[in-house]
Amino acid sequence: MTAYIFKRLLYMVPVLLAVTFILFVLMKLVPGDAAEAMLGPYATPENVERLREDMQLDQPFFVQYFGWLGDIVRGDLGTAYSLDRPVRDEVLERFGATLVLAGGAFLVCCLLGLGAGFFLAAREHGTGAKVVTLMTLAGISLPSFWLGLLFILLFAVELHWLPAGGMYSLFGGETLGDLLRHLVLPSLALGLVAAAVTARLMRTQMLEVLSQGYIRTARAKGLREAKVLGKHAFINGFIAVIPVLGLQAGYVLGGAVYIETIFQWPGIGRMLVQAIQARDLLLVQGGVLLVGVSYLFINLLADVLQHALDPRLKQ
Amino acid sequence: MKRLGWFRGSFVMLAALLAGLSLLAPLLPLANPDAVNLSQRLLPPLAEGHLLGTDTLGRDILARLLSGTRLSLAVALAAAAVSAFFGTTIGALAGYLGGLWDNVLMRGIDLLMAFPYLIFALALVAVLGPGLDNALIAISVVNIPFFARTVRGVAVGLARRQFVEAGRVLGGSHLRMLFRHLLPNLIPTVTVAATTTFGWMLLETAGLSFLGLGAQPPQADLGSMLADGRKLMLVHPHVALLPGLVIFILAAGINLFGDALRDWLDPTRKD
Repeated sequence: MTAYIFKRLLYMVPVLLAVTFILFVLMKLVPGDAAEAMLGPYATPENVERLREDMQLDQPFFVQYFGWLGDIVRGDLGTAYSLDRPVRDEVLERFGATLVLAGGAFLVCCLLGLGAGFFLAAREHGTGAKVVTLMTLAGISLPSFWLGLLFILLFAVELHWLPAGGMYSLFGGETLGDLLRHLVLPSLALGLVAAAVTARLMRTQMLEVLSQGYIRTARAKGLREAKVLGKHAFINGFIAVIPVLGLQAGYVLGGAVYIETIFQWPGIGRMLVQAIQARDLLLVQGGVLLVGVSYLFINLLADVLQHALDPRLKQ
Repeated sequence: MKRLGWFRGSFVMLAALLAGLSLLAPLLPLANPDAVNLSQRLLPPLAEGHLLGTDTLGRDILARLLSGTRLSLAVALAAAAVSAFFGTTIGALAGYLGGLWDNVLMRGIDLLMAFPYLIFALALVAVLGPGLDNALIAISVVNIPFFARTVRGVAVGLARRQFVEAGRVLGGSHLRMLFRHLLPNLIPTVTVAATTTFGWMLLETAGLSFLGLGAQPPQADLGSMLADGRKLMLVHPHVALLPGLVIFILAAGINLFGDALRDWLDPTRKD
């Protein structure tokens, strides 16, 4: 197990290098260069030249790349000119908020998705299963930004159950209870779509397990159905779904862009949209880098978890 | 249709009807979708002369929904086609050539998938600048891996089949193998994959427009209409809710159709 984790961590090094390289090349593709983009169309050539030297844009390509890489390792992501603040501080602060939201949504995805998938596989032909199947079908077709609006209209405006946006109340906020109240609607809006995808896959995987010989043996020797489903089918189905849960974590991190915009959540997705509109490329670069690297580690975690739970993968 | 059942079938029909109407919109007796009339702004649905009411500039919502549907569908279809083209090419080459080429191509594809796809699409839009055509490019690029991986999986199997080997022995070139033997056998896979992604593309391009990074005024697709309506959602919810409903119906119709198509083309993979 330790050897496997070590091997995977070692494999991360070239992947991280490649990912940073792609991001670096991408930002080089911007028409003109970062200095021109920053100063806008009315800048004097002298000012652009000075900034270019400041940002070392006059250096050869690879010198720039490795210089940038060294800056990253030292924790220096440059200055976000639209905010006049270090990119690192802004990005880390915003990412914290996104992690809270994405965590809530991921919990919704796991609980509802795995639960619904289990139900669908256990009651394959019942009326309830038909209804849940239709709900998962609706779920994968729902625009989450529209679902969020519906939730605000229904639960915040009409029923006054929950707040319509923000992370904390303006006055007397900053408590855990307050945060949780603000978290319910956005994490539901974000998590339901991911839950629908998970449910469909969980159902398929569990039915696959249930068609295996050892399940027939278990039933034939008189094992209670609850145990057949809960112990054998659910756990083995779950292990097969783990990599997909890793992908769903990515969906939730990406989809947070919409939900943060609708619910005024101060996360990194909303920051990225604002940074794109302000043409603040360093901020975009820093944000995408942080989300991308975290996503890589989430998937690594999913693989390690699957490896630890599935003895067949040990060989 | 029988396979789908009446409920799912009616969704597919509804989506097809919407798509058909949006194509015929210029021929229908509808108001000009861009005609501003400030004295008629924000009429509720079922108002006289405006079946679904008007928006904040007094434009007819029904006419705008249909023109927006046409634009959204066109962008999603184009994105699916671009993505299918590049993804299929890469996947077929990797699967057919195998070995080093397979490794290089597929590791490249893996790198595209290192970022959550919406975040990667945002990075591309940041580089290219906001706009519907750039949103189309971004959405196409981030969906290439899906096609490449799906197609490669099938192509690997096909490349080892005897008819390909026989073709090579008879002196057929690699190009001939790819186009005459591999591609025709890949068409069902690509068709199903394209239908599946068509639904996502619709949601994603509408999403980018919703964020203000896709369609720019005066151009309006379903996503940007939803974003416009969102500002007055508390007083006039129909302006935002209707475009969202149309996106949902279209996406659901496409997804259900895709499911049925997959079951029909590939009965072994039912789920």
